[in-house]
Formats: sequence, C-alpha cells, structure tokens
Amino acid sequence: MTSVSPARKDAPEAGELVTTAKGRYHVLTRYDRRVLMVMVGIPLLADVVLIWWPTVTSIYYSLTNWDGVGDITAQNFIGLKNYQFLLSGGYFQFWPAVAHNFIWLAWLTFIATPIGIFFAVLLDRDISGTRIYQSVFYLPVVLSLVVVGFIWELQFSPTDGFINNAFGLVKSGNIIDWLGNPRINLFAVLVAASWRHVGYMMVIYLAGLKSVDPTLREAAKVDGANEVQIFFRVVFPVMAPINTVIVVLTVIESLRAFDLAFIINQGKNGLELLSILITNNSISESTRVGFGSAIAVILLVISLGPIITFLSQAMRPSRS
Amino acid sequence: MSATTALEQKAVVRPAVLAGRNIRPGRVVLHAFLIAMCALWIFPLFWAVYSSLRPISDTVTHGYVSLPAGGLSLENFKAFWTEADLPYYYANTLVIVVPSVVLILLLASMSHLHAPSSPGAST
Repeated sequence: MTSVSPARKDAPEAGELVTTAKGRYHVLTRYDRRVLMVMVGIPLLADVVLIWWPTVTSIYYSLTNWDGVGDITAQNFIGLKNYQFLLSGGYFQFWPAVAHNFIWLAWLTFIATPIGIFFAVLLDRDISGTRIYQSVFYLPVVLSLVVVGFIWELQFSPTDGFINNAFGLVKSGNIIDWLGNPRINLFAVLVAASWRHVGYMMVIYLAGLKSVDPTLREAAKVDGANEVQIFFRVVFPVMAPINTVIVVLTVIESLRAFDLAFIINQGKNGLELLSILITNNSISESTRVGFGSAIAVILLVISLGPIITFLSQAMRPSRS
Repeated sequence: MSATTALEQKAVVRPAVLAGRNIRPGRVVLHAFLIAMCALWIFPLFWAVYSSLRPISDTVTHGYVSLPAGGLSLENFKAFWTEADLPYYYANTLVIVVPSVVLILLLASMSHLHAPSSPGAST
C-alpha cells in the first residue's frame, strides 16, 4: 500500500473503502487521488508538451513546404508531395541514407551484438580479473561519441593514421583512405561504432545472465550437457526478455546513428544517414523545414516497430 | 531424493574446483583470449593518450606513428588548461547536466507512483 498520509486527522486510512458523494466506493481517499493526479499529471504533461506535441507538429509540417520563417498559410500546403519526391528518388541522398541505416543495423545486429553477448558469456563465469576485463570492454561506452570519432580518426587517418602506417601502406604508397573512400568509409565508421556497442551490449547481457537461476545450469550439467548446449538450449531461451531488449536497443542505436558520421565528414560522401539528412534540411544548411520533417516522419515510422516492442517488453510487470 | 543429494554435493564440490588448485588448460586459453581482446579494445584509447603526450614539433617532423624522439611531455595539457576557456565550458556542462538529472529523477520517481489498485503496484 502507498504511504500517502491522510489530509486530515479524521480522514480515512489509505486503502480503506471510502464512500463518495455519488454513493460509490473508492479505495483511495480524495487526498490520495489528488496527490496521484499531480504526480502522474506533471510527468504526463511534460511528456505531451516535449515529445508528443513536437511529433504531431512534425507530421503537420511534413505536409507543407514551410521554410521555418513566418506563418504557415494555405499556399504552403502541398499534400504528400514531399513524400512523393523522397520515395521517387528525386532527393538523391535519400535512398543511400536508408541503405546506410540498414547496413548499420545489419552490422550491429549480426557482428557487434553477438560479440558483446559472447564476451558477456565468457565473463559470466567466475574467472579471476573479470572486473578488469569488463571495465576495459565497457570503457568506450562512457566516452562521448565525439571523442570516439576523434580516437578512430587517429587510427584511420590516411597518412598519419596508425593502421595505414602499421601495415606499411604509407611507405609503399598504397594508402587506403579509410574515411574518404565512399565505398569503405561506412565500414570504418562501423568499426568505431562497434567498439562502443560491444561494451554496451556486454553489460546489459551480463546483467541478464546474473539473473538466470544457477540451478538450471546445474541441472543441465548433471544431465550431461556441454557448455555450448547449456547456453543455447537453457540459458538463451530463459533470457528471452533480455534478448528482446538487446535486439530493440540495437535497432534504436542504428536508427538514431548520427554523431560518428557527422564528426567524420558531416555525413557526406558515403556516410549519409537519415538523421543527418533531417538535420541538414531543417536546421543547418537549408531551411526546408517541411521537407526535413517528411524525412523525420519516415524515420519515425521505421522506428515505431522496435519502440513499441521495447515498451511492451519493458512495461510488462516483472512477476508474470 | 538421491538426485537432490547428488546436486547438493556437486554444488559444494564445484567452488573448490573453481578456486583452481590445478590450473586447467581451458582457463589459460580463455584468459589469453580475453587479454588479447582487451589489448585490442584499449589500444585506440591508448593511442589517443600517447598522441596527446607528444609535442607538436615532434609529430610534425616524425609523423604521428613514430617513437617519441623528442620525449613525452604534458605541454599539450598545460596549453589546453591555460588557453582553453575551461570555466565557460564547465558552466555550460553544468547548465545541461544538473537540471536534466534533477528533472529526470523527480519526474521519473513521480510517475512511478501507481495507484494501489493498479497491477504491478508493489514493485
């Protein structure tokens, strides 16, 4: 029961049935309900004003050719023309950006996340120094993405970078322009993104592994299962809720990717991403707010699936 | 009944084995692998720190990937400390961090309060 104290001395205890004026019964006193309304209402208001309102206005702007200055008049409404233009490939950066977002997603899903899970499984046994290993893998996660971008520029830079020098490519003149060549720079950036993502996934998975009932493993071991079988047949299925969280976090991470690509070359020349196109159109370069909003709405629609999955998983009461 | 006792015995015996009186080859491979991976993971960071310790005159003549001919120094940090507008940046950071932490804690703890009748109230 909540510990909200009654307003007056003669007010009923919280949890007691209270008769209202209409003759109905309530578990909560009137004071309790007021407190609840305030405490739920203020966060709800903040949520509506700061998140839902901008979302709805974005959808509204996406139907206009508004340039961000002055009022929106009837002439500004152009219906679905923004979307038509985008989907028909009239904006040549759009489909590459979608492709890059999905390559990002595939890379994190099939390479970075499994590596993180693998590290978590290795570190979950009580080996000595596990804390040190964990700290090292987690270290990149605490760094700002701006710092991560800079650190990897020191590795990938064509003539001064460590990689080209270490493999003797500078001396022999076969310089690979890791960040400048539009065919490979996305993958160079993905290496940097994975450097961080692996540690993130490892920590979440490790927390999940700790919650697995150890008797399950003992039982499987007694039954003669080996380590691989124990993980795939016993631990992995038991971890279903964490697996969902992991997948959804990976999807969200890849859809909102922005920082690394923007630091390297402002998201041009092979590093186009949807989030960068939104920024370029509605904030910095040009003032095509309506057009930028249309891209934002497309990104929102793509994001809704994983977000809904994540929320329904996270909101589920822990005791089922 | 006998199955239970076997389990219990196993649970008792296991930590003793794990304490590692006899070093198992599997463990050595595991540690070697983890150390290699850690080295790989920490190297970019180490390289950034190493680069930060080198005077600009040294890297201009020898390039970034070279041994520290001119020696390592904290000159760059000194310059950063005295020339950058640090108090201003710190103030900016505080202006963002403090309200966001306070507001997030306040609003999140408020919205966590459920009515006693709602499911999942006694979490």
